[in-house]
Amino acid sequence: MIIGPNFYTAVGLLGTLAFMLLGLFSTYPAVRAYEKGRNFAKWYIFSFFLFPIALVASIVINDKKEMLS
Amino acid sequence: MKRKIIQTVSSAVSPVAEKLIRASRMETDELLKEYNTTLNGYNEETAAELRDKYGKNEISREKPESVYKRLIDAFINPFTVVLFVLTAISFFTDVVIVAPGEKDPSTVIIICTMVIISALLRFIQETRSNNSAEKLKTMVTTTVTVTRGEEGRKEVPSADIVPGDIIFLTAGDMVPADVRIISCKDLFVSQSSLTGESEPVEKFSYAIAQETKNPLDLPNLAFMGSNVVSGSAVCIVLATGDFTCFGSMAKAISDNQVTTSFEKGINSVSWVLIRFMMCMVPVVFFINGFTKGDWFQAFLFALSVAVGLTPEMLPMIVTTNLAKGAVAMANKKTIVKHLNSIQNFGAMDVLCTDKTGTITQDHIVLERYLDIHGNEDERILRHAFLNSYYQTGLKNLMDVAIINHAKTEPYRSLREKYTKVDEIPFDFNRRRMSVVIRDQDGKTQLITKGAVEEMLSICTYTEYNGTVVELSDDIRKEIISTVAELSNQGMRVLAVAQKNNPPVEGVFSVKDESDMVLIGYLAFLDPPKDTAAAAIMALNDYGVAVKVLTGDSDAVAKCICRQVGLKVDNMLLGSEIEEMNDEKLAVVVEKTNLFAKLTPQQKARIVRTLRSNGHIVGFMGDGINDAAAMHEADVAISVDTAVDVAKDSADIILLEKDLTVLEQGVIEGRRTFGNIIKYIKMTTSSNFGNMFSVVTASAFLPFLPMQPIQILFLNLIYDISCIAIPWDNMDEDYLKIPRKWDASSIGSFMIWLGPTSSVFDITTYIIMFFVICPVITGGAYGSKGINSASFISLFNSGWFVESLWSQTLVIHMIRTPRIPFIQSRASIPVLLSTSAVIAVGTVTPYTPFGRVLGMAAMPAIYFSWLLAMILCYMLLATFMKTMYRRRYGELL
Repeated sequence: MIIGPNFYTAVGLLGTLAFMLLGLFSTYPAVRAYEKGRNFAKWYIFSFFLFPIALVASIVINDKKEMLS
Repeated sequence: MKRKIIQTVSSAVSPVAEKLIRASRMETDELLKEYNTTLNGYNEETAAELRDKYGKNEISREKPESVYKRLIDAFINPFTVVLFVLTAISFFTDVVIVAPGEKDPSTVIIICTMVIISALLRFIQETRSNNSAEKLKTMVTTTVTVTRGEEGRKEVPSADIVPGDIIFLTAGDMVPADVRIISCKDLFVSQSSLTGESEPVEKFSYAIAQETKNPLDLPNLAFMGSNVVSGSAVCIVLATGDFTCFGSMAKAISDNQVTTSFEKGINSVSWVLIRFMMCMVPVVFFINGFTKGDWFQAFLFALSVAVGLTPEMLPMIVTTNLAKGAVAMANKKTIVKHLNSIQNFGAMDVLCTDKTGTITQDHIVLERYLDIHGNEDERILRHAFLNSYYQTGLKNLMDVAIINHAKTEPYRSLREKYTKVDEIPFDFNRRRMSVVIRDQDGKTQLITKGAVEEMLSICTYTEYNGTVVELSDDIRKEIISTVAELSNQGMRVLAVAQKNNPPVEGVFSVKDESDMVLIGYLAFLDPPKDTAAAAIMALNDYGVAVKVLTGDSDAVAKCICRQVGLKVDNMLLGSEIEEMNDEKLAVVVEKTNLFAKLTPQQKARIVRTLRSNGHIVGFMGDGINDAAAMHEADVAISVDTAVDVAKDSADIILLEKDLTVLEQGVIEGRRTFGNIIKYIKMTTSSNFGNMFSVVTASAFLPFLPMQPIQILFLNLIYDISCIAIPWDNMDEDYLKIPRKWDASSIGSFMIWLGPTSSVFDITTYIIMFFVICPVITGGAYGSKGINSASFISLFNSGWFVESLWSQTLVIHMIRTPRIPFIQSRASIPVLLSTSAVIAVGTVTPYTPFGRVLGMAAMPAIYFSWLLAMILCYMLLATFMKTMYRRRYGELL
């Protein structure tokens, strides 16, 4: 990668890309949690800011629906 | 509301009002003299001459629109207006204000080409659909009984009647012109289409001296657009076609068409996209202006982004899809009167159907004529024959069956032995009708036939074991039991009663139907259509619940349901419904699939309740008693043998008795909807994604990511790839579930799927800016000795090709929840058009034309990056699709 005098462009583009990928992949823990009866929006925000923790948590949490039924 | 309609009518009809009011004051003789006619009417030659003079009895508004009008309409929609404005701005900035040697009309040419492609395709498809519908419509004509001189009474198309014609109206007829009633019997007319008044109005034949300015208030006139609810009449035609009240206010009153949620949704999406574009463009303009300093280039770029964000193909896609659906239905001998009903057909999840004539063959046969004890008795047939032969009211199939059964002697000669004195026509509240006849000895007799319950209510006596006895409770029970037995065998039962020497003073009325002698029953069979069982099963498979709504008895309805394989889980009678409030009815309609002994109002109430429960309701009917329910339904279906008013209320008319066409209609509707929603979701998500890409590029790149002319060219060829979308197929799974408009799903889809393509746009920026362009040009952008123009041109080409690939592949990604190309393939036209567009766009940078657009040839290494990115894009899109489906249940 040849950055040269374009540091601002590199940071801007790479930062935006990372931000967008995080935004897209954060849907995974949120959807998993939603399927287990949790609030999608809350879990999406949680996942966006603390993705690794949210991912693990979404896998290990109990299924609320199953418990209720 | 009603007052407002009447005011509108009054002002609109004033030119014809005077003539009608004058006719209402005249006696019959004066009227006949005025129109130079007699009660025998004109002969055919005079009628033809008058037709030449006054024209056909047709409203201009209902005639097909001219080619020019349709062509102009195809060009006028919010998107083309936006594009025309942008063209005008472009023409001013690129041609008018620039120096003679620098004029560049290419932007104007590209935008105009896009508009022309979109509008012409829309026009061609609409024309095809109109032609098919018009061809079929000629097969469905409404007729009117007219007397034509020596030829006597005959049925002629409504369009052929002329002022002065003598016409005959009965229940179920549409009033074909503005007429003065010269004789009538218990005539009730619904004028709701003219006045908004839902209750039928009673009409009379006497001359009226009343002072009024509004002819609609006059009870001896009837008007085009209204329909006869009950009774019969002889009328003289006063005005036809555009000269009628209905014709003169055709522009003043709105068509009764209700805007469907689909139409509202399409309009709202259109305006959301335009507003979205209008917000985006200033943002892009200012960011580029401030960061790059070249305000003119920033303006041109913003203008091109505006064109790119305008989904100019949306009207074409919507119309072409609907028109294509209508043409497909026309090929199955089904008329789609309103294009949008195709979509409603696909959205329908409950189909309510009348029984007689829709799921039954409409070929009623008289099976038995029995006395009170259930023994065959010729006398019953004789009385029934006289009643059916002399009645002139509603053309009932049971009357036809009786007359057909009694074609031979001794019944035929009964016509000579009796003369008709009067009749009391049928109506759906009494559910019976009477005639009064006189024999050669002067003895009069009132003969009544009708539904058993209603007949029992007017009979005080019965013929029991050969003698007339009082109708006791025991005999009543015996009668009900005999009738129930016949009904359980699937027979429709009517009772026959008579009364000797009724008083003949004055005119006979419903009051005379009392103290009658019940003499026996008639039992009819109306077998179900061969295709009814298969059609009901297929509809159930496609998620459409079928409910039978009939005026017939519960036993007969149950029997027919059994024969067509409709399991009756729960049944409700009209009398039970009458006692329920709306809340209770809303609950029980969900659990009930057979409703019997219903009045027309109850049918309409059930449809209304189902709709308010959130269902998209279809109603299939063929009789006057179905018209109200058909008006309430989302999609009204009728058959070509239906009464005029039912055909008039219908959105869809089946010309053949084959009911499996219903399943085809449902599939066609869902396919149409699927292809429309596919384009809308694709466009909104891709616009949303482009917003990220363009704003990111504007903020962080030191130059424009693509030249304005390149954006326009990209948009043009992408539009061309979308042309084939209406010809795409839908997955079988998608067609299995009713599809209705859901605006919220468009928003969520846009937010979830839109940024996917942006990820790869930004990846392309990074790869082109920091890897490929520096390698080819020899250094980073802005470094000493680097040719900035070559760098930019290569960068622009790289994003052009990547953007085209990702935008075009979106069509394949979004059209199915499955894995594209492997588990679900698009139709051949879509595959060909998208492949051709990708090929053309990829080759363009290597051509002289590409150089004219400011592009540069890319190195081979670019394509390995491109393929890797496209593969990753497809994987990410599949991941997001899966997430979206897990969250919302379905993709489209």
